[in-house]
Amino acid sequence: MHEVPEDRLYTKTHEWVKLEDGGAKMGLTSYAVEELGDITYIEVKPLGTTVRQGEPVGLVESSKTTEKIYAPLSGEIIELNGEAGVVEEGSDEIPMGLEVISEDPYGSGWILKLRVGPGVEEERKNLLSPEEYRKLLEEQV
Amino acid sequence: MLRLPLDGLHRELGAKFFEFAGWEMPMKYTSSLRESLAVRNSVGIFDVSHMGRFILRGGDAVDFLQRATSNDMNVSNGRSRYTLTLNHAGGIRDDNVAFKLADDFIIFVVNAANREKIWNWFQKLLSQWEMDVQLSDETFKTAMMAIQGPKARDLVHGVLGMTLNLRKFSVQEHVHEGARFVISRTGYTGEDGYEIVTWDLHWAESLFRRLVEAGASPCGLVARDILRLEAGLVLYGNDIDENTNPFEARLDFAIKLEKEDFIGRDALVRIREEGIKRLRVGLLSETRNSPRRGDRILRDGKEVGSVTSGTFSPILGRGIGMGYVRPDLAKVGEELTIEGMKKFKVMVSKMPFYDESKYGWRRST
Repeated sequence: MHEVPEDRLYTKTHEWVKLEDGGAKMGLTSYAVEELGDITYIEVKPLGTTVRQGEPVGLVESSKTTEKIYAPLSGEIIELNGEAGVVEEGSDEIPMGLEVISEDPYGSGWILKLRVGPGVEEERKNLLSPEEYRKLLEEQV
Repeated sequence: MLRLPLDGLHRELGAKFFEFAGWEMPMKYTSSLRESLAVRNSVGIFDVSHMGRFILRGGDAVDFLQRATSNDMNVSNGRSRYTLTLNHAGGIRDDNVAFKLADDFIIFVVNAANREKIWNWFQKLLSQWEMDVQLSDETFKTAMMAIQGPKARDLVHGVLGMTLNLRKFSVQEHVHEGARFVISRTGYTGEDGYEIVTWDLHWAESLFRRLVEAGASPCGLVARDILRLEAGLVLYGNDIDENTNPFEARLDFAIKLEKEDFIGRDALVRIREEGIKRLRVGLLSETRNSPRRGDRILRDGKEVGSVTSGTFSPILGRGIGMGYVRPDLAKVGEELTIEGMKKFKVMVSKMPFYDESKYGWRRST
């Protein structure tokens, strides 16, 4: 069974988001990283970009497929996890260290942070609770 | 779903599984990227028992394959040969390897997804042709494994405790440790190595286990796909199918129009006269972005082809793929754009994609 931590919310497209002092940290769920296989590349829109809930915020490529990453909440991209190998789109960098995204998807394998506005309270209603997300995973198996 | 005879061993080795052509297959054991690198730099082992294995016996076995497939199958005993089974329109029904052990004993390897199709097709041909051929499907009575990489030869010789004198594309039958097996110096990775078919399933498990213990990395099908793409080898169902002809797929080396008549020959002559409309090319990404099957290939904003397979190549650190483009754009160095989930530039590349002085079976050791 896949780990679904209690301290955050989820999307139907298998992202997680955790609210913390004015920001929201997001990443991929352990189900997502397992389905992807080996992750070979993750790029996100440039720092400072404002994204809307449910819109693509980046791209993940793996040994099996290429998938979009969707913004769980609206906000401005204020940080990306360079240490994990996440890069801005169009970057010439050859990122390393993407293993951490698969190995620790809920911890050091986070992808980016968003600065969220007051609208977050309304948008939260569109997200899944850990219990709802667990149910979604059960239905997919 | 069909299970491999060595299914239990793969579970013990920590494989993650997925469905492929009706079989529950190891997708990966650790990381597909690491597994593919192990094959390039050292040695890896694959269970490929899902591949169909037909045995042809009888005095007309060679003549049957001469008529049913495109390459010259009248080779010396002990040779392995790649050939194509075509339809009457010159389209590719399957791509195959034949292990010719004797004039009346040939193992014919078919793609897992095409096993029943080719079985039915061969039965139909045999019923029309009145030849002395006994065809049997021994897929479920045998196991098949591939040991690949620059250290494959030494490893296999060490574990078997025998020195095989086997040239590239050669095959032999042995009885050793009480087991009957066929060993061919062939593969699907671009590297040196062996493919082994055995009727003794217990021995197969013991051998696989001993090879892993002696240093072969167990490799799943995703690593196999990365390796065959890096080597520029086609995958049936992706890069070739009933609607592709061997010329556009650049498999001319497996077509022998000058031999006696074979199925698809007339169509191929016509196709060649009419001219080739598209060509299979290697696509090398300028970045880590990988071309993906179904992506559009553009030139100056106009669609000029599409991608048939693609992945990330760990030895190149870039995305690679194959696709079909207009013949005038098939030259190495042509710059094209891929449009799928995102848009990025690629260059038409030679295949294999890697530097053949450093990687692959022709490398200088």
